[in-house]
Amino acid sequence: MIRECRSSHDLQGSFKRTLSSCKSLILGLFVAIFLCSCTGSGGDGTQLSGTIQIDGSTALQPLVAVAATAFEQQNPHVHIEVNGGGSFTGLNDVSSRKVLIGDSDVYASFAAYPNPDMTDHIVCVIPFSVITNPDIQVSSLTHEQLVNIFSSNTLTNWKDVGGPDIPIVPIVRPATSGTRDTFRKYVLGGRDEGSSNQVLQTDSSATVRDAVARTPGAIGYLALSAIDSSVRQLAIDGKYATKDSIIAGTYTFWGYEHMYTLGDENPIVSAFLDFMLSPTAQELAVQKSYIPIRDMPLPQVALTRATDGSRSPSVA
Amino acid sequence: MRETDRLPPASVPSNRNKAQSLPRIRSDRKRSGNLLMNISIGTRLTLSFMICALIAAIVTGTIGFQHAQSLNKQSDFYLNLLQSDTNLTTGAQFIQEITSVTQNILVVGNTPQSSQETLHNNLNSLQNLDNLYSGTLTSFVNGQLVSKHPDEQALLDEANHGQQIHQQETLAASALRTWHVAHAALGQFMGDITAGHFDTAGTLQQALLEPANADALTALRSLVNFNKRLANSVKDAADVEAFNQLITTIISSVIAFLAILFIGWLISGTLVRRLLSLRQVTQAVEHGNLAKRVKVIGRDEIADVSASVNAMLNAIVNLVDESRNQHDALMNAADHLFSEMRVVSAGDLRVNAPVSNDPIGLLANAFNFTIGRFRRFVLRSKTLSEQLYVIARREAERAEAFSLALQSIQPNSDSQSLAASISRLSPSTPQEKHNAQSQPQPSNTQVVAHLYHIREQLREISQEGILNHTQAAGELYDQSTQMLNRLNEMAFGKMGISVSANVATMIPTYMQEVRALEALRARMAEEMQCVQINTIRGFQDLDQDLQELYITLSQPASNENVEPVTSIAEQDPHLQDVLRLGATFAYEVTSFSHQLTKLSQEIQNTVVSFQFEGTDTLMNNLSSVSRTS
Repeated sequence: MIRECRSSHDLQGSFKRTLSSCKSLILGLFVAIFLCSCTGSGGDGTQLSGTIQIDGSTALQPLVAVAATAFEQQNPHVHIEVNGGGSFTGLNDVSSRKVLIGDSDVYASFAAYPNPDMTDHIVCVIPFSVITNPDIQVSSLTHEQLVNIFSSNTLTNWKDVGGPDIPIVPIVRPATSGTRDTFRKYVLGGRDEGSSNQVLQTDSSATVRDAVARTPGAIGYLALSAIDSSVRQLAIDGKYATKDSIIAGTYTFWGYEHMYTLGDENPIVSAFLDFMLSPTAQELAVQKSYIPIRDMPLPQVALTRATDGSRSPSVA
Repeated sequence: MRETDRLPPASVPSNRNKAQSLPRIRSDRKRSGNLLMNISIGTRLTLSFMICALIAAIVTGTIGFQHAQSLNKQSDFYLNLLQSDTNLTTGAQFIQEITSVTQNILVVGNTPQSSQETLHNNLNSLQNLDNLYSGTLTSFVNGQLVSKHPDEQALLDEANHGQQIHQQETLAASALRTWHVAHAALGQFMGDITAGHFDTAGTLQQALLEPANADALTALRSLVNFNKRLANSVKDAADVEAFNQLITTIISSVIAFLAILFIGWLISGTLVRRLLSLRQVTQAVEHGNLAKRVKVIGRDEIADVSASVNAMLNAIVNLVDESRNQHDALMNAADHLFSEMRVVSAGDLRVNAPVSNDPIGLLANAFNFTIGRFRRFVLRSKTLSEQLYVIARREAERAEAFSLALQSIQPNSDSQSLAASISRLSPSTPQEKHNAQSQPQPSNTQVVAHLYHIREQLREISQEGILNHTQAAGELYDQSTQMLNRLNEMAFGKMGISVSANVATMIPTYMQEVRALEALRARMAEEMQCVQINTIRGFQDLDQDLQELYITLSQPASNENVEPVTSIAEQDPHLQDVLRLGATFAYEVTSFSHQLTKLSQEIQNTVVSFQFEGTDTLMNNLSSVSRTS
């Protein structure tokens, strides 16, 4: 301060002249500092560039495809290849480093994929629905009826469940399908699918949809994102696959959509995974009939059990 | 009188100034809008340094507090993560244990002679593991999720990892869901075992329980891994925090620096700017501009100094104006006096310079007085010289007549010539001489009578005429001497009180002239004394001779009856002597009268020349002095 005084004595003329400019300079300095601090924590200025490959679940593929397009628009130097192939294909490819991200409807079992770097990224919830050929006028089936149709094959005609006299043709997906795994786990209660089921050769939601739409008396299951007017949705125990019923826990045929990676060192992968959780991508998920992950509350489950060993309602 | 005249003009302005300047200082001091200006500099500096110290303390304190807070949050977070990680790892062991126990139960149950106790123990431990894992997961979900800890949430939010909170929730939900399936399957399995349906239980174990357990385990591992990633995120958060702290420190430092700078600028502004304006004013005064004034703001020391400078400048301006007015008045009076003096130099001594109260006025008074004295002196001198001139003329005439008479007597007979000379001397005497020649006795008595009469007349002249006049001249000399002394006194007294330099320089020349006049007059008095002495001596000689003559004449007249002829015969050498002496006397008187005439003329000339030349030189001196001033 003393030096300031002295200098102001010495350079009084110039000091007075530059006083106003000094004030604006100080103000500008403040603004610059604030801007610097904001941008410093706001984001890295480096431009992402490169190519990443994604394959796996066909149930998640539509969302990943549109999200990748949006992400490519935001980052022009990034190219994302999105393919299908089924959940287990995705898991296998990512664990063998064929792709950087493997989409999956199911968990990567530690026994099957023992790589400790396998990292789960849950991006959304996918509701599944049992679908029928549009000619079938049955609106709802129970768990037991579904088990009888798909697993024990004891229920073979639609007239037994209140429909027309048309034989039931269960159309199931190959073993690489995550949808099939989910269906088996949460609808069939772990039971094997029946031997008379018509197994499709390619694991694709579109194939299932087209097959169900083409085959009279056909019944199948499909991700809600892949359903269109060519097939007919069926309720389970009177509950349709809606967000409310899923959140309430009364509809169990749904799954988490996982995007597996091996570690997360790749900046593009990290950025894309973050983007998948961003409001933009979650809005796209809503448009594609997925349930955004933020809408899923933590289930208030009571894991107390009556000691009489009563069975799970999902199996009963 | 002089003291009282001089004092009031000097003391009155100072009194007036004091009376005016004091309230003006007060009225000039405006209260400043800036409160700082009203605080004294010392207080102000103390205040500013205290504020600066406060700012520095606040900055340091803020940084320290922030640092401590973030450290606290981080340590809490790590503790929480460590605890949940330990719990969840234990939970994973529970799930693995559940799988092995179910396999063990199936192995035990399928042996032909199964131990019911082992089976029961296994079932109990399975139930126990189920409850333990359920408890672990529930407590984690209910207590150890990041979303249940606002501090940790805030920390992650700061590090821009806010979405990881929900990711953890999602993973927890997935763990819950998978465990829910496994839990249900486990319940079914235990029910089957209790019921003894080992086949169904085996199928269930393979078809549902094992995959469900695997899923639960995977979901749990994902959760554990994610928690590890959270630790990294916390590290990021800490880095971000550190960066933020750095930014905060820098910003705070910059702000503190700027604030201190600003305060310094403010304080120095309250000092420097006003000191500069004060300096501008004083510099203007240095360059001779007395019109500038300092703007007095505030009540501090600078304001005091500024007000004092203003008051001082006002006083100086007043003094300058006053002295200028005095100087102008003096110059006017001097000019007037010079014009009066010019009138005097032109010969008119009747001037009367206007007398005012200033020193020039006093000088004019003195001048008037001197001129008056001088005028009277000149008049008296003139009268005296005229009188002298008249007397000299008369004496000259008489001496001429006397010498003619004597000359006419000399070439003829001695007695006749004497008688003729005597008779020519006065109109009556020739007859008397003739009578004396014709009638010696009566003529002699007549001669004696006439001579006596002449002697009386001469004595009268010597007594009344010359003596009186010389005495008068002497008196006049004394008077003039006295007057000159007074003039000297006055002039010297005036020099003591004179305020004007030109007047002071004028006085000595004036004095010189007066001294010259005094010398001249002294010489004149000397001459007059000489004249007086000579005249007296001459008249005394004449008187003596006449007395002798009278005695000689009266003796023959008294002894006339005894020997009249002899007296005349004897008288003849005496007459010769008388004639000789008379001629000498007549010559002396003539020369004396000439001398007297010359003297009176000289006096007149001197007076006239003094009137013209002396005053001219004086006026020239004065005017040159006034011009230089």
